[in-house]
Amino acid sequence: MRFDGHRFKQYRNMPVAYKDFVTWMEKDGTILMRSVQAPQKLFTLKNNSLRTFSWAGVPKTIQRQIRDVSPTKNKGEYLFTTNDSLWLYQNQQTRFIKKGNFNFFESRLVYGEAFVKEQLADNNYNTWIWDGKTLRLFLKATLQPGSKTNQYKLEIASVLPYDYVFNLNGSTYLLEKQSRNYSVIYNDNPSNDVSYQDSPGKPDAIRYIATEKGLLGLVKNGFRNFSEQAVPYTWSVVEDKKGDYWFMNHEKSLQKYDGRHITEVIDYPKALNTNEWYYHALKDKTGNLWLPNAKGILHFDGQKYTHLLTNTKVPLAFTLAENKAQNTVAATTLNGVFMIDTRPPFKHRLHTDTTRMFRNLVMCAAVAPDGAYWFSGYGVARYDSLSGKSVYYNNANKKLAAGGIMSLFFDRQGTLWAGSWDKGLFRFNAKKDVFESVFGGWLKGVVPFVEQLDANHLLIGSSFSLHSVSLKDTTQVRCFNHHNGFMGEELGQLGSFRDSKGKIWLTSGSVLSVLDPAQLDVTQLSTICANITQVSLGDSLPARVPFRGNRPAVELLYGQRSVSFTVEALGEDKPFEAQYSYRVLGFLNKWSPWQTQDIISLTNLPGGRFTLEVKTRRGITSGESETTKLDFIVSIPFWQSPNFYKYASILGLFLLSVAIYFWLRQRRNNRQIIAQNTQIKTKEQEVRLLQVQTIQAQMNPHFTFNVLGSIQSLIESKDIEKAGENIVKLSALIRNFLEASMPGNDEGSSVFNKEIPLIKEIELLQMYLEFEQLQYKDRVNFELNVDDSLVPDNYRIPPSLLQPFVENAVKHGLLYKEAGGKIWINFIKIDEDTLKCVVEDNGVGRTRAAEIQKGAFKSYKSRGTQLVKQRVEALNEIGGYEIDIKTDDRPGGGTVVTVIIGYKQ
Amino acid sequence: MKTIIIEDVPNELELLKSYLEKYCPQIEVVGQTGNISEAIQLIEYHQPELLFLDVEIMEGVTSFNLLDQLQKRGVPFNFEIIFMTGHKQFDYPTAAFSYSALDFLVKPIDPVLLKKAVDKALQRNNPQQYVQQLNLFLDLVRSSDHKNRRIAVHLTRGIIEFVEVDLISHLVADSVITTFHMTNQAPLKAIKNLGQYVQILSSDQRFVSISHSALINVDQLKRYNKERAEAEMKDGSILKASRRDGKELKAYIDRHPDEMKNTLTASFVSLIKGLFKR
Repeated sequence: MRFDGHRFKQYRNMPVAYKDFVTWMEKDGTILMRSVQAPQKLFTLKNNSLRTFSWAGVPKTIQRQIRDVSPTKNKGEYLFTTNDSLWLYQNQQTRFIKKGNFNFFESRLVYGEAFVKEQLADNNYNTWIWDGKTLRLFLKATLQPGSKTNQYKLEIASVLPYDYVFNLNGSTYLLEKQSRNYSVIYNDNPSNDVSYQDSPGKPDAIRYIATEKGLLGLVKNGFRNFSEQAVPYTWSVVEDKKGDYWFMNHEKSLQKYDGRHITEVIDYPKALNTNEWYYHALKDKTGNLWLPNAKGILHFDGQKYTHLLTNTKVPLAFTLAENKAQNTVAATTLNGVFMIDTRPPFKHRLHTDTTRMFRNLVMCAAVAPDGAYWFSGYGVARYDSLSGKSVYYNNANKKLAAGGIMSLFFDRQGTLWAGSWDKGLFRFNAKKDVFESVFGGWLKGVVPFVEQLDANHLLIGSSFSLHSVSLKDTTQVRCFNHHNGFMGEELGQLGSFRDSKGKIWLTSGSVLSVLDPAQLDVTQLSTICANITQVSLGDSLPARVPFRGNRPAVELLYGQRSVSFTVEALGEDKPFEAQYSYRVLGFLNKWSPWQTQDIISLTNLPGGRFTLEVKTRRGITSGESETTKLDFIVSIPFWQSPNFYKYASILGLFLLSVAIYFWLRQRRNNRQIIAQNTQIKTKEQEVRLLQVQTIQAQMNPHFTFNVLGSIQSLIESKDIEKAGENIVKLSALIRNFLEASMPGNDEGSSVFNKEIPLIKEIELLQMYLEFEQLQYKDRVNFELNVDDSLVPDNYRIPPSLLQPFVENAVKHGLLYKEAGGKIWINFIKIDEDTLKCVVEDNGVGRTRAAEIQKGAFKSYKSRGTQLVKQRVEALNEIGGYEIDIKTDDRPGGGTVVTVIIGYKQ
Repeated sequence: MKTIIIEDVPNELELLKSYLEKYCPQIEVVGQTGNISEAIQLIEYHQPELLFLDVEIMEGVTSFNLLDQLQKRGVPFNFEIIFMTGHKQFDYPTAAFSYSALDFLVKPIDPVLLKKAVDKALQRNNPQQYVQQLNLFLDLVRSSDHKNRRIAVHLTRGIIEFVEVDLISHLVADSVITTFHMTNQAPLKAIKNLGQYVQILSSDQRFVSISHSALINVDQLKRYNKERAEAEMKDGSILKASRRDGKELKAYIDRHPDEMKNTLTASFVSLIKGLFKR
């Protein structure tokens, strides 16, 4: 699997057995991978294609023996080792270089030079350099005979043109360029894999070293750590009158350090032939040294040594405390405390009682400002030597909730602090006369010592770290451990010593350290930030994610629903006890409870894009870091999505409601159509009735019988021809009447779209007017005109629309006038759809006609126009017509009726 | 001109005869009857040049039966026929007259029109065409399903072309000329008004008038653009619809959704409708 910081890619043609690889990259981007399980298996990865390196040209017997492969500065050129030789592979050819037991402790190149280690007999070794052409000796390391601490003698065979950092026996050394001087720069690196990166130009620039524990930056800080080789297992440090430091190395040696050289002290009485040194050596008020030991106390006044407690049954002095007022040194021991006079002849007595504490090893003694003694072990006891009375604080009387106390310390305010071996730190509350746990139980385990840093800060030791704590609110300000310069592990009991220069010496199970508070701001709270460092799919090895900046979203493999992220707390001190909280926007929206585990595992992820947010805090303070974010994308088949069924049912519901909506709409439309149809039917009937009524009005008895009478008179006057002609006309009118009153045969067409050609309407009007002429002779004249652009054959109009207006013009216009008059009927095309018909007469006019009608005894009641108007209303309403009828007075007398027949848009 | 009158109402017969004497002196009535079998005998015997034929000779028996029998007996239609009817436009045979472009007289007979009809019969110069018209007429009268109908189209110079109605795409009026756009041949120029063809074809549901100057066969309609009121025919012609007739066309399409599934909306609506049809 390959992760480019954004996407995962899985290579499936890789044999599963070779799962661990050492990789390096050629300048052209080709990645070479050497299998750890099978060193001769080399894979190349270029442009996403993975190939097995063929080792073409290497004899099969040699191929099988390949143990290790290393790149060189030349592309396609590799060094490789077999059991007994070093070889070069170049242009498909194998070149023998040297016999020997070689291996590549450096798989990377330093300035293009490959470093090859040659293992010799007796754990000695040589380091060679392959510069691309020749092999030259660089370093001879010879194990010092009889050395308990595996000390090597180093011999630099060739100087290097660059600074070089290398590891030897757990320590990291710096060899300066063009020099044979080397020094230990780092003590606690179990890895051989140290890479030196190019050093920046500035003299005080940070030197970076890649180690198994991460990237180290070498900086000057307030800590100095003595190497274990130089100062092994120091349990106690004290300063003498001259300002020399005494190191009491448990079961190793007694050393003196003048600030430059360390010398072993060997001139003390031979009776004390043990190096079983114990804790908290004293420099008393006169400057004499008191060094506790399993065989008693070594007293040194600057001139001569005195071996104290030699005459006691058990001379063991475990820890020491001075009572300056009483000129007494209290030395804890098995089953009690020796009270020793500080002046020769150093009289002493054993203080003890039958309590549990005094039946065991008394762990610590301290002297209060008021001169009272405080002892600890299984609990704490206050002993007033003047009255001989003791007060006890322990689990049994509920005054101290710890199994045991291994350190006691009075700060400058006189407050007593007690470090337990199991329950963290306690503070004595004098008013309540009890010990109270501090830090809210955060500091859980051993507290081997408490020291005053300055007026407001204490320095507290725990198993692996130093904590600077504010006295004001007992919160941690800073923390030091091997991540940021303090290399001690398992800090020593009462292992702090404040020297005359204000430096604090710190003993530990590993190295001796000294802290210069002046060089290190121990009171400024350092910031902490969270970082997401690695991502891992399923049980695959974690892959690094880009450190900072606009990192792209991590895309998981298709179908992958589980992912783990490794997080870390970053800060100068990289606290051990960092706690993490996270949330996944879009998945787990609530912040998780604080956890100390640095792995966040997410399983059963749904598909989608998520944002992982992580924050961290130190366990002891409430201050949280800012959150750091990383987006990642989960792609899964949609049916695997946990919400699939939810969404599927929502979709189903939606479709169902759409279906119901359409069904309801369809039903409503159907109902509307039915209602509309019913309405149309009603209207249709109405229109049909009106139409018939109109024709009835036209063919009214008065008219019909007048016409018949006229024909009769024509026959009477032997005008046969004219009579026949009029009978033909009458038959045409009757036919029209019959046609109009018969229901239409066509299905799908209604009375609304029943129309007749305009030509026919014109014919009928003409016939009608000719009949009127027949009756009234010269009193009725007419003129019928059709617009030239109008083809009356092609226009169709509703039947019997115009006749009533013409009839009206005759009856109420012309006939009310003695001399009669004239009717003009004009058909004008307005547009393709619209037709205008103007019926104009020069009769009496509307006003006069109304007057005559009013006064007349008998009037021709013409319902025709009224019926037409009603029908037009219905046609306009339902039939889609836009018929407009307008009646006006004619200038110069008479009436003008304008009928515009059009259709709605 | 040897003429036979077939008319069963004596008064009408007398009136016609008197009109003919008065207005058409060139007519020589050689026979008259109201009976079909007698009519056949008279026709076979006299071999007339003109036949006056009342459409409704007797109750239930029409003059078409006479023509039918004549045809079956192999009597050639080498005489002119002037049909007479009292109905006009009320029943089916009148539509057949229109389709075959045959003239007929309406009773009571107008002497003016009678004279015109006789003059026209006398001037006939293309008997072959006239026989075709008669055959078409008889086909139409006989058939009950109106299928494969043809229509006689008056072209210029008295030529009549018989056109398959199915093959008409659309008719366009240009003043008094009507252009028949056909699917199988070049357009035909008819000398009758579009209005007359509208009237004739009004009995055929497929023909919809979309404006005063256009009549279309909806079977040949490709799509109708409602917004622009344009009908696009299968032959690519685009015809502007008038407000009124565009609506009618729309109504027609709505009434016949199966024939017009041109738009996506229409197909979607019909799909949904189909889904919920019980």
